[in-house]
Amino acid sequence: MEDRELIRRIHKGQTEYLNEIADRYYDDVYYFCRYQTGSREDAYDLAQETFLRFIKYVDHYRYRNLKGYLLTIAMNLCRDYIRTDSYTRAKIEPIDSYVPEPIYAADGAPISGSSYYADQNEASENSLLLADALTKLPDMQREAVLLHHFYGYKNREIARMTGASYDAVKSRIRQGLEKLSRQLRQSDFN
Amino acid sequence: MTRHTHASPHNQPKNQTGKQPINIPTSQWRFPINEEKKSRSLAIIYQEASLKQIRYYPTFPEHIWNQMRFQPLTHWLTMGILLLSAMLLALWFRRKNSGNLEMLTVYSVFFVFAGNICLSQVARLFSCHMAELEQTLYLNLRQMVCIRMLEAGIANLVILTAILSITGETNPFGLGTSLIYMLAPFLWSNILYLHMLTCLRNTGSVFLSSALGLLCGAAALFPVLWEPAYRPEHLIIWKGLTIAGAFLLAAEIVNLLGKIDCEDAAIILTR
Repeated sequence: MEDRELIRRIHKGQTEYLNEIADRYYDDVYYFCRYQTGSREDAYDLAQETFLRFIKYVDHYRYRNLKGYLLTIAMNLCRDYIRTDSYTRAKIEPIDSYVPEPIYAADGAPISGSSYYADQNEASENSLLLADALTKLPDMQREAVLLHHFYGYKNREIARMTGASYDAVKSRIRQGLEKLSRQLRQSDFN
Repeated sequence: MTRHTHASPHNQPKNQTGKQPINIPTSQWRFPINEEKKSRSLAIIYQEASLKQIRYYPTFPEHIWNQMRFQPLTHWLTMGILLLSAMLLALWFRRKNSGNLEMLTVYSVFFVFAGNICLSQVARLFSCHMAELEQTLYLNLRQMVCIRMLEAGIANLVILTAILSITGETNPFGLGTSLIYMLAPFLWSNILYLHMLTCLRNTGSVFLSSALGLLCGAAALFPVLWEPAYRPEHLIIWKGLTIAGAFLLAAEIVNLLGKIDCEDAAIILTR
């Protein structure tokens, strides 16, 4: 079912479709919060808060671009989070202290000792290097790079989401990508 | 909605840096999420969703449509008669080829009356028990006043366009100058009308509205008494009056809306 139809049904009082929206976009919102804040743990709370805010204001929401709307809520929450003290503590998540999270099979049992596990482990390490490189970017550049490079939004869309001018967004992306490339080349990212 | 991300291997971004592009496959940045934590988080979201009571909020076009539906048939008839009269008047002057002074003065007076009739819909909002009625609607008094004024503005614009487009070629003054001659009395009569709504309070009175309408109409007739009024050397005065009228009208609207906001609506409406 398309997003527009989901919103239409929700506005008609069928609130069970809110769950479908959460299922559909939870991961997207989580990854955004994770890379924007640098904290794997707090990103769960921020993603959850994003959907709670969406549920609170869904009555007023007019469909335009649902994922973009959710990411905008997440972005504002992340901005608030970054201003707080908890960010300073969470931001420094040393790579050496990284303990890979267990990978679960469909039945809920943890998978270990398999090549799948090794691949996932490498992906997690890379994601950590990436997160580390991203945290070194200024906040505004980071969110612009995330939305453009990882979520595929156009500059004009990002300008609308962030409330910045088109030129400012373009400049943030250019500078952010330059810094990110430099950081990733210096690290063992592969 | 699905969207290809730039980071995916199939859709690498154009390199904005002019250097080697960053190659980050989706699998590298979308690491596995802890399903347990995700489920806990989703459970809270589901719970909140189950408690959600949806309230219906109409869109802006729906608001306009609803407000139009509340208008009585007599209102639409009046609007139709006004428009028809404007067109007939313009056609009559065009056929008659009468004097410029006479034509412009009649248009000005007609436009003043039309403006006051259209604005009378705003005055109706200030009648007794309107505050109670307001509570049953999605809109508050301020929003309803805005919508009614918007409707009145559109109606006046249609009438003005009808007059100017029909008389266009035969009008010796030119479009801009005629517009100024007609707008000046129109704006000032609207200012007076809105001032009456704000200050005199008991605005439901038909007598007051009619008296004010007649007064403004009579004032718009003054070029008949003083013939040089439409001479080119006096155009600057008309321009000044129009600009001042536009500013004062805007101030009067702000004042009216501010009064609605600041004072208790019930006090305004029942005085």
